[in-house]
Amino acid sequence: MYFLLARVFQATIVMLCVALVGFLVFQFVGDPVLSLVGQETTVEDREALRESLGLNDPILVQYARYVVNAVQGDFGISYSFNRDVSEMIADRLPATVELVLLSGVLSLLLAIPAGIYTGIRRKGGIAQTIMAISVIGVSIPSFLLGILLILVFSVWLNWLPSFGRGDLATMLGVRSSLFTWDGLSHALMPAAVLCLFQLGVILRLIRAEMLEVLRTDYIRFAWARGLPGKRVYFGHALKNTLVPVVTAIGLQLSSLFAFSIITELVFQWPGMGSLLLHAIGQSDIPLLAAYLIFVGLVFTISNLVVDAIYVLIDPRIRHGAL
Amino acid sequence: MLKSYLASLSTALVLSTALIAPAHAETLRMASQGDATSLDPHSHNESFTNYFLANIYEGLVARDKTFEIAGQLAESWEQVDATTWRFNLRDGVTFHDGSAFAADDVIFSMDRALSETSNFKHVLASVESYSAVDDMTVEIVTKAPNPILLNDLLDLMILDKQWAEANGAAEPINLQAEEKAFSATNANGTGPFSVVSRAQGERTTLTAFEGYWGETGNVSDVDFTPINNAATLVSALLSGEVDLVMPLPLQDIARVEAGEGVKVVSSAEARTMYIGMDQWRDQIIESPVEGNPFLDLRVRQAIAHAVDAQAIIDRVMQGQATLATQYVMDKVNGYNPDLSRLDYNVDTAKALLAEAGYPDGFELTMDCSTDRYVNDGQICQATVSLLARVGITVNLIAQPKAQFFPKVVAPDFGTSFFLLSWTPSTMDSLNVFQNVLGTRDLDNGVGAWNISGCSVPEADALAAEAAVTMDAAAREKMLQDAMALMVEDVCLVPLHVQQLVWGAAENIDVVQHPTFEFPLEYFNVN
Repeated sequence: MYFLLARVFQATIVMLCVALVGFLVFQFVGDPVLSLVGQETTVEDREALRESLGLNDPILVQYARYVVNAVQGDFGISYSFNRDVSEMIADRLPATVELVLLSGVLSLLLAIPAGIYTGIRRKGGIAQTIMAISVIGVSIPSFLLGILLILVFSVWLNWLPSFGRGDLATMLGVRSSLFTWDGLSHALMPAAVLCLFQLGVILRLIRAEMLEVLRTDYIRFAWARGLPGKRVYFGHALKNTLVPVVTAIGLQLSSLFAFSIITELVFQWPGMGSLLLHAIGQSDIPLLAAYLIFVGLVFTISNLVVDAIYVLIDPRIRHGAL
Repeated sequence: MLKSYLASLSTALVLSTALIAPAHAETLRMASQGDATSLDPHSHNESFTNYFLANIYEGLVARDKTFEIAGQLAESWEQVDATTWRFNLRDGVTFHDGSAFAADDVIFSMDRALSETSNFKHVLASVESYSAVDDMTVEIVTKAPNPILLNDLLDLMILDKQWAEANGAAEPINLQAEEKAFSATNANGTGPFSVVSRAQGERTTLTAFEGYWGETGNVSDVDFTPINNAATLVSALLSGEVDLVMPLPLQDIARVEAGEGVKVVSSAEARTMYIGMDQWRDQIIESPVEGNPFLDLRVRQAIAHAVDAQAIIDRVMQGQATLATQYVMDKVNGYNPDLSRLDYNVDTAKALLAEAGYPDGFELTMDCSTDRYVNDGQICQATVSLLARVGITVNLIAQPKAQFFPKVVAPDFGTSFFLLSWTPSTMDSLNVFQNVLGTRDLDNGVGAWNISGCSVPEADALAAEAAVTMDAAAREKMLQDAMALMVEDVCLVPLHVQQLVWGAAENIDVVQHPTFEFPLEYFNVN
């Protein structure tokens, strides 16, 4: 319990720092007033608006005011959307979540067996092919891959839609585009782009860990004892590769959340990433600040969860040996 | 799951029968790189937003299909005397929610446009007072004779008084107010289209308003999606997922021209690009030069001779622009057909620089946006290499508009050499004199965009006279003479008038106006 409380306290400090850094950066994103008013607005009117938005106050005063409001759940009103920022994020979040979930599940389903396989049969033809594909996944930038997919599957073949989120349906109280064919067909390409990169990273990590573990003495002893391959590979080897793999998966999934920006841009996916790009273009400080805090929160929480999972899979941590 | 599929199936059936029912039922799917920033017609004065909303809301007057000013909610008007205008409102007009349109809606909308949080106060800047004479007549009194009152009124959209007051939208959106900004996401106008759904930045759907008073084309539904990424935007057109993209990125013109079932539609836009030079500081900034070379007319002429605007049009703009001889394009009232531009001539430029005391040129810094105008960053790069040929070394600061505009606009005017452009929203060159060319007088709202700080008092006097002259011919002559004076003084170096370039499916008929308007009621799906 003490462990968890300490982590929550640390997380709060991290969040405050994230917000402060964000506010310092906002000094350089441009003047929101200019994106709010038209070309015919007089200089005095612009100045009055700047004053009324509190943009003339010292940065620390703006920061303090923001934190006090944010703690009460008030993230202000977006300059460019004229709507509550929290409402905007709640609107856009489901789109990103479904993309992250779909690509996360896809990449785990493919990466774990493929990683184990290539770790065991590392010289085989299939393993070599898988490794070659994973190199492509890690090295092709997502915007290029996205555009390529659009060119092939939308423009040439006309199989899949090139942009947007499809029809929504409600199932078990959750409203998502993953429950309709139209929605799935829209989500497939962006999810594939996000998946391919994750796939490459996780697969290679599992393979490397497997190779490492398979060389250790206790695996040799296990073979010497005549244990069947299944038990050696899955019972002894795989289990011991999991600690770094779980860390990596945790970080990868949270970074999917934060940095699906490019993929969302290419496929015009109406999620958090495209919201961020819009906010940057319009110097929409309340929206930017809330986004930053939200991403910080996702990272902090996923790290907390990863820490908790360690305890489950590694008895040495549980017993305080490490 | 099965249930929801059945539900959506039955909805689809209902929808398809609904689509068959009217005689002309065509959906126009359009996409653009940006979205309207608000549905409130008095909140954000930004051209795309204004023209998007012009399909939903209407003004007293509007541009018709041929770009002439015609009555919209005002059926006719007369001038009682030099400063008094009487507008007779159109009978039988209703708002989308069914309530009737009357004079109190016009008065309410004018009050609203003048309120603290409005961005359209300039529309009524010349107006002294206004009142409803009766239910269907409105009288406007101007402070001085205003020959372009109708042009000013083009941007004044009319809302329903009862609707706005009932929904807490009696004033344009106030960013400080904590109440929900109802009018930002809801609309109730008299225009040919009403809003069905609105998710800003995602998708907006419109449907033809059945009770519309005027004639319309056959577009029954509009499905609008902003697509920020240029490559995705063009792919959506080529794959047939959208019918119209605007604007079409210049680098993709060839692809669309070669594509099957799609076409490129283009025409001149009212935006004139120009290079500005500091003419108000004694010492130019961000340059090692002593003093201000631009105070010498010969240096300004040399720059104009050195910048090969035709090469910029051919290479950077891919031919999608026309040479500018002055600071407005030919469809703007006050355009002077007798003016020509200084020819491209490196030798003349060098000789002029030598005469002015800069035989070896000089070094300076240029400010440029990279995401505001068509290929703005590349235009500046071309300018840098063109000026290098006459010995002028330019350090280019190419920056996003979010950084560029705060640096160069009032009150700092923090640049001595820059690329900018202007579209006169009234399509009358007086607007350009008041904002860009007139001697800076910020307290009286003149020259807020005169970043060069140039000043030609004779031209100022002519423009001031034109502002109160009702005789159209005499007035036009004054504006033309004033323009000639500004060009002679090389206040700015005019570059080109950019083209509006759209990509459309073969079966779509569009109407393009120089102001980027897209009046969907004139569009047709064949």
